Amino acid sequence: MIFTVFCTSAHVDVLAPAPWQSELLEYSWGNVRQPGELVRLVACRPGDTLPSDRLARVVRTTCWSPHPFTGDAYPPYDVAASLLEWLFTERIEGSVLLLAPGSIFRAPVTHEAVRGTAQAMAWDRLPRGDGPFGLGPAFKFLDLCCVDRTLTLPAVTLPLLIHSSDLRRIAPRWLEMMSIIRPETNVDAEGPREDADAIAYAIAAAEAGLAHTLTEFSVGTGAKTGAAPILDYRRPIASTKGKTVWDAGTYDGRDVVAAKHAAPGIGREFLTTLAEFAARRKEGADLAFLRPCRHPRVREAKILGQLFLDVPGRADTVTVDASGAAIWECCDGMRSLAQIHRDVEARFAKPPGSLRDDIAAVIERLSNVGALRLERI
Amino acid sequence: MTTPARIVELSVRLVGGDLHRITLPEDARELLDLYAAMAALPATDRLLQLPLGGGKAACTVRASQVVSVVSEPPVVLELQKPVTPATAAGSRLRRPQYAILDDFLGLGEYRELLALALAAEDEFKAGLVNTNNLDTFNPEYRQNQVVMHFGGTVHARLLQNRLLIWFPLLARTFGIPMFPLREVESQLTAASNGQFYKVHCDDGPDIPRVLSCVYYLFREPRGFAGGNLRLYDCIEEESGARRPAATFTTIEPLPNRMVVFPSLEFHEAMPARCPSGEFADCRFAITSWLQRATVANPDATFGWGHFRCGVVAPQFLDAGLPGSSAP
Repeated sequence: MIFTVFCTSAHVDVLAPAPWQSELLEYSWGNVRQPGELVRLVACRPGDTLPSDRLARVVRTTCWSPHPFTGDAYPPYDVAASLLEWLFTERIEGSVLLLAPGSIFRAPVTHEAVRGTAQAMAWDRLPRGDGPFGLGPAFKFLDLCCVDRTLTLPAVTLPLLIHSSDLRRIAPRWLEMMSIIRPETNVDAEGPREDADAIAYAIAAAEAGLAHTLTEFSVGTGAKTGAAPILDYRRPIASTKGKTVWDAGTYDGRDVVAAKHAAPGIGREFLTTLAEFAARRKEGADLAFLRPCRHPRVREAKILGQLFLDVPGRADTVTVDASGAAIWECCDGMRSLAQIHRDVEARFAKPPGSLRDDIAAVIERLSNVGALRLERI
Repeated sequence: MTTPARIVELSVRLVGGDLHRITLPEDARELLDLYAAMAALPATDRLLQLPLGGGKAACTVRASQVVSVVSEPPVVLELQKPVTPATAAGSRLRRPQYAILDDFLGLGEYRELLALALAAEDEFKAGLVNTNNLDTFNPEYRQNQVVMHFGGTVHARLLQNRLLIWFPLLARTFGIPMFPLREVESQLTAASNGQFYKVHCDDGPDIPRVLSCVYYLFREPRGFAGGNLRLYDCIEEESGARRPAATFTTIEPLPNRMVVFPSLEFHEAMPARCPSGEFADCRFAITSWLQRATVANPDATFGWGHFRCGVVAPQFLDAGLPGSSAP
């Protein structure tokens, strides 16, 4: 079981994605048929409302930015804290594919994580020097709070594929180390380190004895080619003449840039995916963006566990088996497809994501016979 | 006046014909384990450890391999007597709340703390019991060795700083509104052969402990048995009075395991058996208590000194969520 996880924030900071970003990720997740469950962790302050989910299961977590004990505003606190809260409260068991902000799927990640070994992207900006852990002397403060400073740190970054038990072991230390590095480096001229999260993760992983395999999980929009399953679109996409044709920071979620304007490569591929997504969204053709609702004039009857639907305008009676009846009951116009997946899978004690195709088929059939209408979310 | 425990002579015959003669006091844990395993229906294949030669050797055998036991004097079993928690009208039985955090520290950190405990033998004193705000030695109630005021040490901070990261999540888990911290108090304890701490709770009218946190560490392979933590179900009267029930949850001490529970829970450290009698074979624990401040103090620092937990952060003040309230 692979839990694809992306961490967001309900309030405005760099972790708060524009609605189109979450939808695009969900669309790509569904489009490549990524196995398992898509989980969106949302760090919330009091009074924050959860965003509406589509394919992702939305989990509310407690906001850690600003840090409750230091007051430091640093969104990566929310990532480690949300993961810890989720893993602890839900007792998650399986592989966790943790995505960086600004990611979409190009292909499914199908292999599971092995306990004791994580897979991650290489990170070439880990500070090096003559200090604790081979970091620079500016990290001398770690002598006080780290027992073994001779450990070799893994220079890695997101995306990360890790077993949930390993992630649960290191998440508290990851959060703690960030909470130490940030105030300790605040005396530097540049202010607290922006890369404290990656350094903190490396220390936590090394102390836990967690090995890492470097894996090309992700490819950026500036690359010409790449076989990585995940696409990172945080950098602007340039034309053949080097002019920026698309930038995530300024994109409003509506205007589509023709892919042909981008230089050949991954950037053009991203714009093609974005255009497909926008078209589907506009047409309402994708169930991910629809809310199934029972037609009010359909009459129901249950005989020996079988559901019969009398649909206005149809001469015949539509029969629905027990599992189809469970799906039908969920189509109350209030629940999104993601919620229906969750409810039906829970009812039949099936793993998350395992009934995705069956549920989609039933809803499509009931929609085609006129028993359901699909409303936009 | 207490009656000394009688001595029971046992002849234990195993599959294959081996016969072991064992002498045990009637209140020995091994005696109870042996008969409990035999009486279990259907037979459980649990592992039994029977002391031979007065404890100089041990016979380890699966319960299913025991053919018969002859005892003198006779041991009479009360078979299949279920423990039914009885509560009077107007009272209710509540299960204890607790959280188990395994692999609490990194391996290097764990080894460092264990080395510290093993090197600190001379600093341990007999554990005391607080009665009416007076610490007294009460061997009927508590027998273990303690390094009091361990909380001020560098090593204690290692543990405390990690604990503070867990603090909001644990408070929320137990439905305890986040509270301003006054102090994180810590003791290092060692339980040697036969040592225990009978049922008690850690809070009190003048003791502002809210969360009790027991972190286990010991040498491996372990040189002790027993020493489990029992968390008792609680009988709560309508009047607000509380007392421990006869039923309980047992938590095994495991290395690098942290057990956290609200300080009001009745609990007991069961006797440890440590045949070697060596200090290094003790079951060690670092017990920390998160204390509530009556007055918020934004300047108080905790752990390594970065954390200001003397006030409750705004994100924990949502009255609509469990584990949150106004300060």
